[in-house]
Amino acid sequence: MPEKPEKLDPLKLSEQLEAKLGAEMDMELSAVEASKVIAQPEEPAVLPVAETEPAGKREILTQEEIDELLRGVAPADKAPADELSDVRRPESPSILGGRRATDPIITGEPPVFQRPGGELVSGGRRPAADLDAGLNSASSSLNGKAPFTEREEKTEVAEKFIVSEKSGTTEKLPIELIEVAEESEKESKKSEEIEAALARAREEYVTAWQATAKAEKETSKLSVIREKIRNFFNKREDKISEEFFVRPPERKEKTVGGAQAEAQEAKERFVKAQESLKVSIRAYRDSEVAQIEKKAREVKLVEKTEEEIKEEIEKQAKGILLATTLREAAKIDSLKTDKKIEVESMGKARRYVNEKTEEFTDWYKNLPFKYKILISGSLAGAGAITGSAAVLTAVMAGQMALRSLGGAMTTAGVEKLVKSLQEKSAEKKLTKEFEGKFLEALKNQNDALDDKLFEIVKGQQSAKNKRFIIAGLAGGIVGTGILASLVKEAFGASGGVKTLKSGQTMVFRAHPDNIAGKDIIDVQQPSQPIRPEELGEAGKSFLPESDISEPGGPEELGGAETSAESPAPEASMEAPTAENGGRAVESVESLVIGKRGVEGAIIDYFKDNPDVAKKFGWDGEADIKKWAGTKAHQLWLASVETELAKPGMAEKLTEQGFTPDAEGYAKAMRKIGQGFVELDGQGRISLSDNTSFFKAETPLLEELGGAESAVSGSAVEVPPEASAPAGEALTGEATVSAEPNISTPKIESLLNAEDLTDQKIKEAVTRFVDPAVLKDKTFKAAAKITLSQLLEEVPPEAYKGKYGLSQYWHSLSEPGVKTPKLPGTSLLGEISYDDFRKYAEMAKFLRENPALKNVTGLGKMTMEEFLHLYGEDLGRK
Amino acid sequence: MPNLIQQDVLKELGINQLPAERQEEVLAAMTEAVIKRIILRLVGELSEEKRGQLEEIADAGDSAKISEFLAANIPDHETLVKEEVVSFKKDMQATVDGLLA
Repeated sequence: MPEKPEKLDPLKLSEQLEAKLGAEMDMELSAVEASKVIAQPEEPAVLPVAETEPAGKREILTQEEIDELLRGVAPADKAPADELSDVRRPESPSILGGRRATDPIITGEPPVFQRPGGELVSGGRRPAADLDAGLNSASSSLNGKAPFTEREEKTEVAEKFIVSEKSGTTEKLPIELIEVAEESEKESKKSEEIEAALARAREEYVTAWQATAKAEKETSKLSVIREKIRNFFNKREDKISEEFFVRPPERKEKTVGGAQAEAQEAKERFVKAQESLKVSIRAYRDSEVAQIEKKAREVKLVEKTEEEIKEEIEKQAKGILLATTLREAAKIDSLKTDKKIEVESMGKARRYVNEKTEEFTDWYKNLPFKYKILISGSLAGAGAITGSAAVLTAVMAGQMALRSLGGAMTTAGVEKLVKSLQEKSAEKKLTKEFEGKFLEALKNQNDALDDKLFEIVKGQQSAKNKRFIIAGLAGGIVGTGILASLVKEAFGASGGVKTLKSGQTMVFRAHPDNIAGKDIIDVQQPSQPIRPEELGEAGKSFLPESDISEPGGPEELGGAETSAESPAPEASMEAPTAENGGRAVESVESLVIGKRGVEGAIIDYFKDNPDVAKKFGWDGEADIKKWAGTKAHQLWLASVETELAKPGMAEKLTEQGFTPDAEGYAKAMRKIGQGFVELDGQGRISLSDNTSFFKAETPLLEELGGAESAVSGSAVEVPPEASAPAGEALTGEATVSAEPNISTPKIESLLNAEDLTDQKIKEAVTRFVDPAVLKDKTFKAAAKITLSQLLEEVPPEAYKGKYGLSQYWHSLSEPGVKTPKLPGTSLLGEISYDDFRKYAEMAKFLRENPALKNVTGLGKMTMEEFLHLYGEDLGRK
Repeated sequence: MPNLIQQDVLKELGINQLPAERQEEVLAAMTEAVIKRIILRLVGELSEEKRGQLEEIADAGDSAKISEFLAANIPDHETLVKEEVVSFKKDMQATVDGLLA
C-alpha cells in the first residue's frame, strides 16, 4: 500500500507542479521538434532526395534562386542565369517578410518561367526542390553539411529522444535488455548441456563397469574350467594327455588369452569412462561455482574482504564437488540396479519393481525435508523415528500405503513423538548447561538440578537411580578429582582426591551400604590408569571401583578389587597402578548407554581414548569421529546379530513395541535395566545392568595364610584388614597385612563346628554380598537352582583372565557349544549375558571364598535356601 | 535448520557437512537408490508364484498384509534389508573414492 504523500503547502505544491510541468513541457516541445524532424520526410512538402532532380539537370531556376524567391530576395544579383530564368524577378521584400507583393507565392499566381528560347512558361511544375533544405541551407549556417545527412542525423537523434521519452528510460537501450535475456538463455542452455553431458558420462560409466565385471567373470570362469580339466586328466591312470581331448593348445590359449585381452580392454574402457565422468562432474561443479562467483560480484559483499569471499567460494566449491560426487554415486548405483532389473529374468516382477520404486520416488520428492530425513534415516538404520519396516511395507504396498504413511507422519501423534524426542535431546543440552556449574550444583545439593534430571528421565527417585543418573551425566564431563570428592560429599562420604589426568572420563557410583557405615564413592576409571603421582595423600582414599564384569585371575583381580571394595575404611588403600597390576587400559569397559544408544556410547569412548581406538584399528590419522562411528556400528551389529537371529526374537521385540532391529533390541534391553554396554579388548560387546552383588572380592586363600586355615570346621576369624589387602596383594604376592587364624576363643568354645561354619559363611555373605541380590531378578529366577548346578554350568574359565567372562560368553554362541542350563531373564526367557555374569560372580564367590570353599553340603542347597539361610543379615547394617 | 534429531540422522548418513540445499539433493538420490536395491533384493528372493501373490496384495495397498507376507515368505527379510544397506554404503564409498581420486 503506497504511503500517503505528506501534506504540502499549496503554494509549494503549485511551484513544484509548475517546475515539473515546465520540465515536461520542455520535453514535449523537444519531442515535437523531433517529431517534426521525423515527420518531415513523409510530408509532401519535403521531397526525398531520390525524387530530386539530378544535379546535372538544370532547372529554370536554381535552388538558390527559388530559396531566395521564397525569402523575397531578387535572384538577379546572383550568379548568371540558368536555362530557365524567371523574367519576373521578385522585387524588393515587402512587408510580408521579404517577399514582394508580386511574389507568386504571395499572389498565388503561377510563376512564369522563360525558357532559354525565350518562350514564357506559366505555371507548370516547379522545379523539384528540397524546400526545407533550401531554406535551411541558404538561410542558416549548417556547417556546409548536406541537408539530407543532417536530417538523417536529426531523425536518429529524435527517434532516440522519442523512444526515451515514451519509455521513460534514459539509460538502457532496448538492445541491452535483449542482450541480458540472451545471456540468460545462453547460460541456461549451457547448464542443460552440462547436465546432459553428465548423464551421458554416467551411462557410459555404468555400461563400462558392467562390461568389466562381465569380462572379469568370464576370464575367471575360463581359468577355473581349464584348471578342472587339467586336474581331471592328471588324475587319470592312463594319463591321457589332455591335448588329446581338448582343443589344440594354440586355440585354448587363444580362448583364454582372448578373454583376458577382452577383460583388459573392458578395464581400460572403464577407466576411460571413469575419467570422463570425473571431467563431467568437474564441469558441472565449475558451472555452479561460476554462478556463485557471479552472485558474489552482484551482491557486492562489501562487508567481506576479497580473501574472505575467495575462501567462501572455495568452501562452496568443495561442498558442491562433494555433493555432486555423492549424488552421482547414488545415481550410478540406481542406474546399476535399473540395468540389473533389465538383465535378470524377473518376468512380471520387473514391472512391479519399477512401478513401486517410481511411486515411492514421486511420493518422496513431495515430502518436506524433515520427513525426508525421517524416511531416509529409517532405511539407513540411522535411528529415525519411523522404523524401516514401516517404510518398506508401505513402499511395497504402493501408493495407497505411502499416502497413509505420509499422513501418519503428519498426524499429531507422530508430531508429539518427534517433540518428545526433541525434548529428550534437551538432556544433552542440560549436560552442557550444567557443565562447569555441575560441581557447584552437586556441592550445593542443588534441587533444581535434581528436579530437572528426574523430569527428563521421568525419574524414580530411588537412590540407586539417582546415582546412575548422575553417573551417566558425569560420565560425559571431563572428570577431575575435585568432582569425585564433591560427589563423595554429596553422598555423605568423606575424602578428597587430587586432580586426575585431564581427559579421563569417570563414572561414579555410590555404595551406600558400606559396612563401616560410611558411603564410599567408587570411581570407575574406564581406560587410563591412575598414576600414583597424580594422587596425593587424599587420593588414597579415592577408591577405584573394580570392574564388575572383570573376573580376572586371582593374581590380577584379587588386590585391585579388594582395594576397591574394601569395607574397612581404616585399611590403607592403595590405588591400583600399572605397577601393582591395578586396573589398566586393557580391561572390560562398562559404558553408560546414553541417548545415542549403544553405538553412541562406544563412539564417545573411542573419541575419549585414542589409544584404545588405535588398538581397535584406528590409524591415528583418519578422522577419529568418522572411524569411531563406523567401528562402533560394526562392533554393535556383529554382537547383536546373533541375538536378533534367534527364533522368536523379532516377534518378541515387535510385541513389546520395539523395532526388530539392532536399535530396537538395544532399547528393549535398556527398558529391562541393561543400560550399560561392556566392551572387551577383542571388541566383544554385551549389554549389562552393571550391577554387582559381590563386593570386596574374595581374598585368596593363600593370602589368608593357607588353605588349612580355611573354613572346614576350624574357627577362623578373618580380620578386616586381611580382606582388604594392601598393595602387595595386588601383585599377587601372598603377603597379608593382617594375621590369619585369629579367633575369639570364647566364641569358639561356645559353638560347635557346624555352627561355626555357618557363622563364618554368614559373615562372609554379609560382608561380601550386596543386599540387592535378594531382589535381583536373575537370582529370583534361579531360586530353585542348586549351587552345585550353578557351579557345574559356570566353570572357572568363565571368569578367569581379563576377558574371561566375555570370551566365555561369546564362545557359547559357537556351533556345538551348549548354552548353560540356567534360568534367564532375557526377552525370550533365556539366559542373557547379564544373567551369566551374575552367576559367574556367584560361582567365583562360592569357589574362592575361604569361608565357603570346601564346605560340604552346600552344593545341595538351592539359591533361595542359601541366600535365606546365610543372607538374613543382609541389609541390616 | 534441521533440529538436533535430524542433525543426528544427517550425521549418520554422512551428509551433515554439506550445504543445506545440497543435503536434500543427495538425500533424495541416495534414498531412491537404496529403495530400488532393497525392493529388487526382496522380490528376487521370491518365486514367480509368490511374486504374483505379492503383487495382488500390493494392489490392495495393505501394508500390514505385506508385512505378514514378508514375514511368512522371507523370514529373514530384515537381515536382507540391512545387508543391502550396508552393501549400498560400501559401494557408494568405493564409487565416491574412485571419483574423487
